[in-house]
Amino acid sequence: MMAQDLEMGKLEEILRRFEPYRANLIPALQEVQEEFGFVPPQTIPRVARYIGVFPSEVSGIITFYAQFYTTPRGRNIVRVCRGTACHVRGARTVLQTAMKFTGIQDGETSEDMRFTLETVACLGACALGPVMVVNKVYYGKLNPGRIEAVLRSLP
Amino acid sequence: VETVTISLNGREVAGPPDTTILDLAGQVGVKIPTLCHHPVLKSAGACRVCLVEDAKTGRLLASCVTPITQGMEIVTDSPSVFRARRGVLELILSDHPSACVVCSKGNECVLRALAKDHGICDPELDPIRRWRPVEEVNPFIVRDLTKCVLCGRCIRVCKDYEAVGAIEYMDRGYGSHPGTANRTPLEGSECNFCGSCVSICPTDALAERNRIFIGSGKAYVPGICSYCGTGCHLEYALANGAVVGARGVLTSPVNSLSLCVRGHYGQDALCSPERLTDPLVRAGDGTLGKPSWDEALEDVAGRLKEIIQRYGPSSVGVIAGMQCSNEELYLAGRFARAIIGTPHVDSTARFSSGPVVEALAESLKGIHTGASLARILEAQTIVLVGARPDYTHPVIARNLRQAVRKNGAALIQFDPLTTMLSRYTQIRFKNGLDEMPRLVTYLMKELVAEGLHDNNFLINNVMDHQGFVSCFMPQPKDKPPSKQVKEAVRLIGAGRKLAFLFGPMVGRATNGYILTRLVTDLALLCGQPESLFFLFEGCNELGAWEMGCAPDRLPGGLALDNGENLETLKRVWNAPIALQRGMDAMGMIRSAEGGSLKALVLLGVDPIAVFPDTDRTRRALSKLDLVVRTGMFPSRDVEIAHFVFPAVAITETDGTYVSAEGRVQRVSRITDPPGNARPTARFLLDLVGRLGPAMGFLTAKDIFDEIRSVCPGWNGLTWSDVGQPGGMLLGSIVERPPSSDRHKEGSLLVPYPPPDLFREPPAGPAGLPWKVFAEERAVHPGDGVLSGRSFRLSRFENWNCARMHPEDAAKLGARQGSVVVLRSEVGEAKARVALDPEVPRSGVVIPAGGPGYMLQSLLAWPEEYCPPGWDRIFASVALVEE
Repeated sequence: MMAQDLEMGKLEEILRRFEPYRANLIPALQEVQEEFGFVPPQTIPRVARYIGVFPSEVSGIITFYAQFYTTPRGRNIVRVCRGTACHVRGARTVLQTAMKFTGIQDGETSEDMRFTLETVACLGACALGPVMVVNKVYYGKLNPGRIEAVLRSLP
Repeated sequence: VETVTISLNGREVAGPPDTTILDLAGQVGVKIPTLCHHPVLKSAGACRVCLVEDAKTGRLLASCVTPITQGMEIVTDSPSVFRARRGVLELILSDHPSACVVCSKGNECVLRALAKDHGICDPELDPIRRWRPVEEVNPFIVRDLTKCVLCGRCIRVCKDYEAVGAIEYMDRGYGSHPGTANRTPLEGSECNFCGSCVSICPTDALAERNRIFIGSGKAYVPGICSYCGTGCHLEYALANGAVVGARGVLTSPVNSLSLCVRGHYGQDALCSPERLTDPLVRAGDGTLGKPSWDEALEDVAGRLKEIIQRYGPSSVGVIAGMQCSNEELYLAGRFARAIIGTPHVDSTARFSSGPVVEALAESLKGIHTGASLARILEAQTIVLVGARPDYTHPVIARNLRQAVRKNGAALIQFDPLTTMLSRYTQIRFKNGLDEMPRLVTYLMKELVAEGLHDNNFLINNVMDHQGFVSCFMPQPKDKPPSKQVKEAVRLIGAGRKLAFLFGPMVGRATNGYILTRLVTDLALLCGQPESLFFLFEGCNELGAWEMGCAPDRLPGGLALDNGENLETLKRVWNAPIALQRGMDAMGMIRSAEGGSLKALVLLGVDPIAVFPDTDRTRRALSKLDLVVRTGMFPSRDVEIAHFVFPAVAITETDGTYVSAEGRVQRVSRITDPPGNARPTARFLLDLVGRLGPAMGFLTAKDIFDEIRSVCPGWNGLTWSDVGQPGGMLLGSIVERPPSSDRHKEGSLLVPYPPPDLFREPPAGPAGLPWKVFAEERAVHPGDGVLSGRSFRLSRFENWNCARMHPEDAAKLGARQGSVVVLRSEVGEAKARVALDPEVPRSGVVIPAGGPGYMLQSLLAWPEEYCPPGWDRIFASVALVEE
């Protein structure tokens, strides 16, 4: 999403739901990310002014937490587990298959905005390993064929 | 008061409950090493270098954040403390480059001193290197994050102390570093380059950028900054007899650690290679000769005598600059009125505060309001009228930001342009200066209508208080007040503590007099005349008025018809005094053009940089028989003066200066002047000696003593006290009654015509549809003569830029960077377009100072005793084919 087509009205709508306290900064940013898919840089000064902190402080929070993104993300977020249990069961192959299918590296978003590929340390579903999570849906006991099938089925 | 007693290294010591161990140890002389701690900052406890041991439990505590508790037993030098501290330092040093030999922080590096104290040479730990590129984008700061120890001092000073908040910790873990919002470069962030982060950085991660490696200062010597009227007390860093930098002084009540961009980075101008070193004489064909001081002075004295004999003393004029010391300005006044015998003496303060001083003198019977910087910090509501302290007085702007962010003060701004302070405002009136008298009148009417004015004050202090209030009674035909006006009145009235800041823009506006009278009345209605703070722009602008270096004032800032002090003056000066009201600076230039003025003595004034309509000024000055000028730098383009005498910088002479706050501060000679440069006071005294009997002053102190004897209110000052950090406040002197008492006797107000509320401000001349806004820039204060010589400052901003609204630019067919020509009634100037959606429509914003002198070429000559009229500059703008 580009700066010009960002609807600042939506931002105001989100901010109105929060009292302007410091403690509400992270919940407000989460809502912003929910709405836009990421935290657009041009929203930062407005959020800062509303909450009553410096824009640099908002940036500091966003860059500290892994949950916040400042660049647009794909329609489908693919998270591949690299925890110990998944690792011994072939997580590397899962990641390689996913990378090959999507054509992007870990942490990147495909140009057609279809995929964002990430790795995580553990998804807490070790019994199902190797695991990946696509848009909050868990896929366990993966093999290359299944991975491709899952990814192909995504919009 | 309850106290807490602890045992510190076996000694019983006590302090109030909230004291930290570190502070208490400091008070009793026990030294605890620190790294991330700094006296002006809130402790963060980030580095763990200040660890001490609790002897009872053996626990190690960070002393900078641990408050004392009753019965605590603290040991600061046990083996376990030393071991732990050493370990902490080794960890910090493990990924810090061991490049101390070539590091420009040198002996000032806190980390290096700590390593030395703890005997660490090579930490022998396997470092995880985080090499980062050295950043040298702007002319001020070099950032080498490889050397950063993440103490957070820069972040805390920016956020809590300067209240700017341009930087914050970005990222996490090994990647964490100080950075700006959205990772924009500093120039695109909120940073105003005050340099406090550089001053406070314990390592060389942040350093001043220099042309060549000059290392750190070898000595730090106290002085005053000469860039503006704030009067910051600072320490000049000297190396090899030259000024290489500056830093704030914690003990200064004016600025403490703070400096601004020019105070911090612009002092290299003082030692500029462009400085004049020898007297110059201009021959008839324009070539410049280099006579000795004696030859040149002899020549000047002879020609002055001849002119006085032939045309009378009134054919001579004297104009002094605002960088002159009090002693020089006082001598200039005495030289003109008592030695030459001409009333035509003025200073360049006329152009920025003339109408304001006149209005204040009439409203409050004195030019001192008693305002102080401390008052700003206490204020609950701050009103900015025609003031842009963020550009003209950046250190005062820090007080404003502090008041808003820390104390929750409300800021009301009257300004058509968006400034850096705009984001802190609660209410902003975007009206131009021409509409402001009307607006202020409506504010007063609403104040009276709501009954929020301070009646008790008016009854006690104003003779005809009912008549005064009735001037501001709402009339039936008045327009109903807007929502904004109502809101503003709620913040101004009802006993809230106020600070009215009005700036040089008011002094330069055609309606500056009436606007000052109205704002003064508003302050009086609120019962707080001491809330008025005029931001005198020049480093000694207030001093020029105080010293009577004006055609309508005598020493002490007294009016000519004020007989109070005349007898003393006659006795001390011991000569007939020209007491009539003389011509002001503009009047002198006009009569140079007309031919009645024959000689002009310019003390520290470059006429081309100061006077409007450069071409006409140059033609007028060339008609004079004699132009003598003292100055630090050669004039722009062609030298106009017949004689030029090299003057000294503020670090090269003894003298006193008065800040905008009314603080008298003394400077001493700490560096040697270049070549044969001499103080302007020396020039005047030597010239007087050649014109008649000498004045008999040997030192600046002699002149200061005479000033004390003739200026009412100054006799409480002493030479040694004004030499202390912060000097002495004029308003605090007992002999001078505080302003609120001063108007008890007699009528408070000289009546003035109230503004016509229904007449629209007159439009600009036909064919000039654009309104030109002159905006002061922080890096180029005043006339820009000094800052233009600073290597760093002169490279920072684009001087010939004209900001305009993108849609206006589109109509012209101009894009960012297109060249346009601005034509006013008198002249033209070329500029590059910069697009800015904040600029009012049909408006174009140009820099007021700087080497471009764009504004001077567009401004017309004002009438005598009139402000230069920055509020009414109109121009046509056309795209230049490239």
